Amino acid sequence: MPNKTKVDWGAYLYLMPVVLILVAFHVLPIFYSLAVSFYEWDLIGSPEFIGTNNYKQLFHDPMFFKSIWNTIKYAVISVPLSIFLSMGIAILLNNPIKGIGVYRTIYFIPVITSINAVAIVWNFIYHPDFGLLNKILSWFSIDPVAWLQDPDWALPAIIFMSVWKGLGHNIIIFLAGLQNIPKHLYEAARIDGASRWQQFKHITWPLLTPTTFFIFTMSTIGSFQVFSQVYMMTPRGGPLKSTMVVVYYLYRKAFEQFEFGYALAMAFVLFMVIFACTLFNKLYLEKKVHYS
Amino acid sequence: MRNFLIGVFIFWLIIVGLIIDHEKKTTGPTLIKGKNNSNKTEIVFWHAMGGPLGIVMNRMIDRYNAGQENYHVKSVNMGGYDTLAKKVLASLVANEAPDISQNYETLTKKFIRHNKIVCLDDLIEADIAKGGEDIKKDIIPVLLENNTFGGKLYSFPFNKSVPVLYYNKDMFKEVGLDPNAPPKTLDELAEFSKTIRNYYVKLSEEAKTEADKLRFKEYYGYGCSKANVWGFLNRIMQFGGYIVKRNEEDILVSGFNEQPAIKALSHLQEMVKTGSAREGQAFDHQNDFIAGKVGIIESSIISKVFMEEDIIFNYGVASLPGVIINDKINNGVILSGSNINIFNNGDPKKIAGAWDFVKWFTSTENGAEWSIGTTYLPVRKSSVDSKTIKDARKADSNLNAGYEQLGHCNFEPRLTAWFEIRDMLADYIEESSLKMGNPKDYCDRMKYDVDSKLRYVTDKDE
Repeated sequence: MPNKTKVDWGAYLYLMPVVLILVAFHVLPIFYSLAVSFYEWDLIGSPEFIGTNNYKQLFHDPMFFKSIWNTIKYAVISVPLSIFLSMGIAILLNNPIKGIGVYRTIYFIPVITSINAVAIVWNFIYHPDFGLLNKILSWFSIDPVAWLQDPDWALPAIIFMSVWKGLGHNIIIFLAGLQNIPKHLYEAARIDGASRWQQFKHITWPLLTPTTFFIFTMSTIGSFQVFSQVYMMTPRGGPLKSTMVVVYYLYRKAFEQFEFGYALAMAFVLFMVIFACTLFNKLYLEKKVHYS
Repeated sequence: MRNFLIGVFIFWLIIVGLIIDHEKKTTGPTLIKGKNNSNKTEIVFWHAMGGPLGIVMNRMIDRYNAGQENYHVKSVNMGGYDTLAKKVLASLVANEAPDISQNYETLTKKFIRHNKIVCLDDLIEADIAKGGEDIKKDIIPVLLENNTFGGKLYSFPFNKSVPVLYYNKDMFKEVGLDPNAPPKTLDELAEFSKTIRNYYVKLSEEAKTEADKLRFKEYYGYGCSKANVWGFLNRIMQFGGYIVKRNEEDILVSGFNEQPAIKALSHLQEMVKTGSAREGQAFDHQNDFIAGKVGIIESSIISKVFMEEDIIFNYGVASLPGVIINDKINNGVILSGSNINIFNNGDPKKIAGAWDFVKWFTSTENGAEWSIGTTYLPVRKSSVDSKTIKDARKADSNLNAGYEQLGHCNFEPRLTAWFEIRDMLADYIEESSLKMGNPKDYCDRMKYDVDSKLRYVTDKDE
């Protein structure tokens, strides 16, 4: 006869506050939102059930597809760029050089600065007439570029700023990953005559893969949710809607055109896209991760 | 190090404290103004009047409160119109709506449909029954029409404005134009802008230094904002067109594929193409005007109060130019700005207080004061004819353009889908100035897309 285990109800009591908060502010709103996505609702009146019409309409909405395409472009460029830049800088910052704390702080400052404040500053940097960037380009006799007003440049400009903003966060995580790599592996490699590149290729890169995988997954999720910089720097979704990303389109539908059901349907399609990407990462890319 | 950081933190706290204290002492608009320390019924007023407009409004609200025994208006600045609209909607869902707020016509229609606002006709009829004034008789006709839905007045015109031309008189003089003769027609506007641009291009070519070459290259004749829907719609009116109407079959159709719209878009496009006009983001054209880099800009009449302190040259404000049709100049402008809604919060005292405040604020003399202080159009005919406005116009001729255009004002369609349609128009206008394609093609596509939307519009009172 199995031993009767005594249930410690105290543990549940300790868990209750956080569970209640999660249920009230996360779980319930998710299910409520899912339900509302099957309704037409302008917030003031009563929601009207319209079945899957919002979803059907979504798949006939060219702006939705444009926003998905812009979001994919944003993710495909910003995520690898951010990973490689932050990894490179983290490797440099991992060296015992003088004033390393100052450098690390400098890279981390954008992370702790409000995205709205950063966006305002970058609006000035990108200004076609008196922006800092065009001023620098003029030293090399390069014609000014209308960074945020040109449909070809607006999205790259947003991506560049976003990569700069998020760099510090990734650098710190990479630094933690780098410091977990045992030093004796490098010593052994050096004794065997391995070059710096060989050390990176055979020690740093494989042993950093858990960190890279984590950053890749989180950055991908984050990049699909890009909003603030687009909202602040390119009102209306940029020139010819070149920076119209899904979350911004969703926001406009919900809070400017008051089509809440439609916006929520969009949110759930976005959720499915992010979920599919994360699943792909988990099932396929994680196999290439060296956890030891 | 630790002590140093603590010292820096305390120093920062002191500085922030001093700034806040200074802000409190200045007369600038605060988020919430008007503390009710009495037993008066409180009327909560949500608005989007900031900067110099908020200063004038709060000064008047303070005066209303000081002279009141029954009501106290609490002025709450919500920032911009977008934020205000979102907060009003959220407050309605939470049953926490303010007593009055500024809103656009499209929202008013939503409120009417869901019975959230008070019909002002009922309040006016009650006034008349008590021997009071029939206020509607004194409201400027276009403003009355703009706020009438299904034959009834549901919102009250509050801060309505029109677009005008601002022109740099000193620059006019310098390039050889008459500083007292602003462009009267769109052709003249294009011609004058070209004259200004050519003058500075020549100066740039003849400049001795590289700095001057670059400086003069940045001077333009005309400036406006990119994707300027307001400017496009104004031009359609000037070319004698229409925006949306019901056809013989009572179906809503747009007039974007017709000649006035095509000409309107061509005019905007041509000015950019010839290099005499420059389109900027948001308020870039105003900044360029203040900096003396652009000769003429098209902007709201209320831009005057935001720009005038910084302008260091002689400038004029003129009515928008028109188009000669049948030997007569056809003028036309589109109204902008918002109206006041009184929310049906179920408390007759609050509704009475809100109505009392609206009447007081828009009364002949107060309406005139509001108009002069902010350049917004007055609501009442009697305000326009008042000595206050007449004297102000005599003292500052740059105030005239707003009042002069009252006779040919129109308003944008008040359809609930209008904001979405407006965004579509902005995309096409932006595309036309970026790609410089055939204006007719853009207008045909505009017509197709807008009419596709209009097919699903079920609300009336366009």
